[in-house]
Amino acid sequence: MKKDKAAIEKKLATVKFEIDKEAHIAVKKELCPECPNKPCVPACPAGNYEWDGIQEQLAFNYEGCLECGTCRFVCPLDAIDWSYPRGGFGVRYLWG
Amino acid sequence: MEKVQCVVVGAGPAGSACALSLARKGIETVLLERGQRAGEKNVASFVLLTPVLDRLIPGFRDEAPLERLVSDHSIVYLGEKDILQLRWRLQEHTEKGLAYTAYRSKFDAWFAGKAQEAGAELLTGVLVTDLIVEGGKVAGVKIGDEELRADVVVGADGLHTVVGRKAGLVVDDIRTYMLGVKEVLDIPQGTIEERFQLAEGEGISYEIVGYAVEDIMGASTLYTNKDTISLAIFGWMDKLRENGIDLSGRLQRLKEHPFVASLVAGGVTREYQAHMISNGGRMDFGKLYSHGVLLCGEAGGFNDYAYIGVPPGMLSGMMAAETIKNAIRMKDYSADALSGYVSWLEKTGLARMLYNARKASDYLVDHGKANLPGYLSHLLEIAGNIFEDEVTYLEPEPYPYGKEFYYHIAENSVPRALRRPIRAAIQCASPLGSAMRKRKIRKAMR
Repeated sequence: MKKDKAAIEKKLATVKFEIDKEAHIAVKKELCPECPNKPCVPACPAGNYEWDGIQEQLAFNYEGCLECGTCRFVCPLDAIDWSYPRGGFGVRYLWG
Repeated sequence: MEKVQCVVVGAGPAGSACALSLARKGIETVLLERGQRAGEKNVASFVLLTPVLDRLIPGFRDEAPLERLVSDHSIVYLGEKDILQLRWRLQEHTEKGLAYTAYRSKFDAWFAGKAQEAGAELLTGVLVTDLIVEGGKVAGVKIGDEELRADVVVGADGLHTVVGRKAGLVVDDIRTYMLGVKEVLDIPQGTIEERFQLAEGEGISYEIVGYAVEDIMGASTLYTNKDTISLAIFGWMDKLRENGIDLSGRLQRLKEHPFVASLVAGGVTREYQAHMISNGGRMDFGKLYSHGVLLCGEAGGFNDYAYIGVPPGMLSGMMAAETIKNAIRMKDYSADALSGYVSWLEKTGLARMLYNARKASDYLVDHGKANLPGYLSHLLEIAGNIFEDEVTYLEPEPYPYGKEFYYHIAENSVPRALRRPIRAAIQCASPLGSAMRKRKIRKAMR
């Protein structure tokens, strides 16, 4: 099933972030073309991972990260290095 | 370089309970929190049960930021069309005030404040990145380039615990991890009470199995806050990894199911959230402590199998504090001295609860994920057939579901090429089947 990008964007607009200029996610992108099913793309609840089939490349952004950490466990090649953002940065749930 | 007696990492329920207990014992404690405010990184998955909190802060009902007193609980099996619902009144819970809904962002901030009042020093916006290890013993924490030394470090920093990982205490088993995706939906206070038939200030919680996550043996929860409804959906991490499941899409599907849609009608999304939880007390009691370090709360795996992690987390924090008090008296912070933690856990019912949770979760992991959805839909089919018969037995076709049953066998247990001829044969033979069944029933009913 195709991920509904617009719906996720709308939902993410309800979340408050303190955006860091330093990324807390690093991906060994050279491994991604070998990955059979790329589960990070559908599994990330913020839709932060996107596979560009033409460029054969994974694109991601850390700014809208909800800090669930799913990506570090679903990656079959252990190519995603996710850690907590620096103190005070990242998602700020008001109604968690 | 600063040195304190105890550093507690993470100001969630477990960390704050630990810091509060330590401070009350007169132990110099620093409580570190990576959020700008305690609680802003946390997401509640379900109801907050209060017996442990009651012991720590007996007057909490008058001052804690609670939303509703949960007076009713409901379990729902949600099929495509059919709905099986149980709802019961939690009489004792309501009279004694044992279950509440709460926003963790508000509750955790209040609770950390209580630890502060008791004398613990709370530092927010501080992420622990590593441990100071000297001679095989944990001697404090690193916060980027800065260091904070301590006799004992308590890791209460959640499922993604930095303390537990750096101390080599955490082994991930993704079969026991779940992702939860949640929406908090604005609904006026009065509408909630009317819609759910609740008295003023009382609330209801739902556990929903089936629809939208049946294929991955997920589940959903729904509960009422003062003027919002929280709707969350959960899926197992191993299933997400194998099948690439989009839980946010599944949540949307759930919201559109007529049953759920009627409950959340008119609800506008106030906030969208995601958080991971572990399930079923899957810890190794030998790996809850090491030289100079203890784990509690989700970092140690203190979680039952039904999304209830706050009370076990708090109790583990309290028991960690007892252990540390003994260690300080003996001036011995070795793993041997801290192994008393397990005895403290065994003094409470927590060890038994975790054992039971693990048994249940083992069953889910080994059997349930494959079989349980089948059992549930079968159960629902039986119930559905009864009701269908009740309204259709006046019609000439006496066995409305018999044919379907044989079609099902034909479709699933023979090679593909044979399916069409068998289907045709059943079609032809159905009057015969009907006659045979009639005979069988006549015989049985004599």
